[in-house]
Amino acid sequence: MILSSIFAVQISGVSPDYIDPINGRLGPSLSHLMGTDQLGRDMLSRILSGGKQSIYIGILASFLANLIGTVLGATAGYLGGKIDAVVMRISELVMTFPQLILVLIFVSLLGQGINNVIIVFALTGWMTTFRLVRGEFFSLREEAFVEADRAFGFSKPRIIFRHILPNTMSPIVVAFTINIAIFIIAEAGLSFLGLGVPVTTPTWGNLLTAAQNPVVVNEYWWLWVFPALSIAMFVLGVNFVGDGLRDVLDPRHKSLIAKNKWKKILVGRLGRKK
Amino acid sequence: MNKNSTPIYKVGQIKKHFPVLGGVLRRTKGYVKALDGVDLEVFRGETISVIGESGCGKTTLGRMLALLDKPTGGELSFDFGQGLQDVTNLHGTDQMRFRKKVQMIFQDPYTSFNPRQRVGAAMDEVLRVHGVKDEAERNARILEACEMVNIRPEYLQRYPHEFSGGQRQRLAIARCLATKPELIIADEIVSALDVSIQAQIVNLLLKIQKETGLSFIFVTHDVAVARYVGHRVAVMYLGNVVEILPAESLPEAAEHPYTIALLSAVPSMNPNAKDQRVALQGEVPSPIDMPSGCAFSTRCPSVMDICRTERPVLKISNISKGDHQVACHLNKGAK
Amino acid sequence: MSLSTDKDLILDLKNVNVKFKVEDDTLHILRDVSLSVPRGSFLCVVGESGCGKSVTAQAIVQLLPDNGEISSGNILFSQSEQVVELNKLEKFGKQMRDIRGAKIGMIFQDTLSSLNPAHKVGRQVAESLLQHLPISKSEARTRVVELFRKLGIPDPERRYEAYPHEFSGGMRQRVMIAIATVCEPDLVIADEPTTALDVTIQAQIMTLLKDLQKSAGKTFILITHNMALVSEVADQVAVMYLGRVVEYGSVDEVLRDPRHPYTKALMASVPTLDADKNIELQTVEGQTPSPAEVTVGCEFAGRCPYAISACKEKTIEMTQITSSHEVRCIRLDENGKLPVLVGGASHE
Repeated sequence: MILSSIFAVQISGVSPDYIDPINGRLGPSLSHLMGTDQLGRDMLSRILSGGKQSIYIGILASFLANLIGTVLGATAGYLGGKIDAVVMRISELVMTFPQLILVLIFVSLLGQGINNVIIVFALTGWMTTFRLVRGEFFSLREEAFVEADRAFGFSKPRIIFRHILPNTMSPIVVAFTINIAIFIIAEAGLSFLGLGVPVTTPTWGNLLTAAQNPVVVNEYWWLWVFPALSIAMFVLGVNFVGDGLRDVLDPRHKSLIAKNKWKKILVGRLGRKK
Repeated sequence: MNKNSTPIYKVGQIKKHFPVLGGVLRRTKGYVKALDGVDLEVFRGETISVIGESGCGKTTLGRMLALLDKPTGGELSFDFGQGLQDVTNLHGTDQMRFRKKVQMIFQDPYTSFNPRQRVGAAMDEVLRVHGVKDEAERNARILEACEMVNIRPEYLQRYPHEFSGGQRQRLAIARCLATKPELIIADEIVSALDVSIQAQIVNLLLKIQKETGLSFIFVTHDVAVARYVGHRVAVMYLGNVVEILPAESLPEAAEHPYTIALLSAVPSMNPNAKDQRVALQGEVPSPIDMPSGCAFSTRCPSVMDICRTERPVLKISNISKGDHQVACHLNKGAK
Repeated sequence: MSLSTDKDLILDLKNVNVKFKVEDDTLHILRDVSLSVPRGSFLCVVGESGCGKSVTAQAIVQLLPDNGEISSGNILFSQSEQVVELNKLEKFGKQMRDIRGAKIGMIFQDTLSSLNPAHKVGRQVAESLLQHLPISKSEARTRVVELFRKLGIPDPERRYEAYPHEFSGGMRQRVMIAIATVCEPDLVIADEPTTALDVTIQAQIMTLLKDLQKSAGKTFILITHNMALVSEVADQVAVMYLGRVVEYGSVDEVLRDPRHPYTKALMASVPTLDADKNIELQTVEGQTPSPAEVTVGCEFAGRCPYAISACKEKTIEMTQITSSHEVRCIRLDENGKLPVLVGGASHE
């Protein structure tokens, strides 16, 4: 699905921006598999390129949020004490603000646009990963191999990043995939409200703004059903990939079993999406 | 053992008190005295076994000696080659210098290696951190260590979970040996293993000592193994060393009432042993609520008035003299 | 000896086989285990990890995990003049539940997880009583407090109301013994009850168990890996390796005159307080294989210094040394002795 979105233009053969007012608001047909929108733009290619944007936002925001959360969680979790207390208080502060308010504040400060949306998400969404990683570090730092590392004179950064962190990859990966889904949905919500990415660049979210109009919802169903379906399917797919990744990353898993499972998951997803 | 030589590691009145916080304002209510004034000397080339039951502080002592924990009182001194130096509060490069000489092996073979690191890479990393820059030399040391513990070099590519408990302990020993230490602290390293595997590891340790002349501090709760492995045995009770004596003279030469009771409680193949058993009443008192005077006074069958008020000090035994120290008011001390 | 003919036996295991399903494989965990336990005796089942001793205990009371089953054999239990085939009873049926706890008591190793941390201990012991006997709650409480007193739990009235975490390890084990014996079962199975305890506490607990055997005539099956402990408390000993009983006999016979190579190695690998420090501990090469690796012949043949090719060819039967001592080894001569080893390994 990711691949098909990236190569949106090539697949559909039609540019998403090609405006053809005469053919506006047509239902799904052979030349326009998902119909056209009010300006006659081909929905399929709009969805595909919209997907490209949404996925880009989702992945990058999730990656950044996880990066912040992981680094903070690792240091707070391992060092504990005052540093931990300070970062915890910061995270609690950010968490108590309703996300919408925070987003509104940031958007008004930074303006709209894809990159700003990403930054906003990263700044407001790192807390769960932080908590997760911090918890893992609290328990892992008592493990015997960490003690052994200290007995061998390993430096703190080495222990944190080269030894404990790889053992926390599994929950981090899962958090990463879940966050992708969360941010895509968040972006959809935001853009639906008109606060996210402006309509000039299609994303699944702002394609859904069409559904603000009850007439559209009833009569021109293809304008919003397909974007909504795309979001749902992508989120599902991402979760399966996350599950598979988690198993594959565990060295305890017999390599053969892991390979087979990974194959099964890929095939399953591809089969479904096709 | 040349008794006139200086020890390689000297423990001077080591204390480890953990504050117990309580109440709304979290004030210090009392102290858990995990270690309450421990004296010990370890000489080059010797194995000293440290025995005791749960709560006696032997594991805390082991970790303290490896500088994994800081004592709240007392001094640790180590001989790097130019006489004893204070190592109690080392940092940075000085601490690294210490860590190259003193290594530790832990009890649980299943968690002492990073599960995501191949064992060969783990050993290599230790050597790199210890400053062995030349890759060829690192490999040579690792191979030599593996040979000594009977692990085939091909296995170095594997992950820890692919080995059995006994093999993992051998790998842990190899990991320490590769750094060429002078002293190894072994904290209950055989307790989690089957008896026949225990025997393999014990034999291995003795062989290593013969070939390298390393010193060992062997912490265990198994009295028979302690006697078999060590040259000397130190007995701990509630944070104190109550007796130190040559291993071979056990069990006959034991003088401290706790040592005698401990030895008699060990199940034995000897049909008469059960009748001679000293049945200790009650349980070990809580380390927060330590009795005044001698820690063992509440359960000692030979308790006297002075035991309840004055803490006995480790003194050379009056009876066997020589290399035997007892902390008991029954021991009048050597003349 | 057989339970159907010998009234003196309380438990009789005949050719019990247990298999576990693990992923796509079936592992043969217990192999033709036969044990005859005389009433009022103290049997110790000894072996290292993976030998099947705990599984044997689980099989007797039908508490095998979901993926395990008794594939063949009989477990006969003599219960007040009647003989019951335990393995034929429904796992959680009324009959089996009546037996478990009331007629056969169980003591486990890990007291922290075997006791419910949210319930007071008195109640946990009383629960067992109330389940099996038609008595009132206050009567149950009285009996439990009395039992606590007998088992050496100080201040029993107050301790009745305490929670498991308020006890030390040794005291918790006494609570476990209380639960196991409160309904006065004839047979008590203890699975490594003192392995996690200090040696002085272990001595106290063992004395307690032996007293129960002598004063109340209870039969004990103790599962342990500690040979010295066995020598102190056992009347009979069964040595197990990879699911098979390799040697069985009275404690004097097996411990002072072991005949099976594994038993001999086990005894020689444990240092005693009077061990000669100049003699190396005897070890056995390698480690215990997984059950899937050995399917034919003697399970110990792969590590045995006396092994010859015949050892690996077919299942070895027990050889009777005396009327009570049997050994599973084909290398014994007419006198029941092993050959002398030349150069560390035997030759055919």
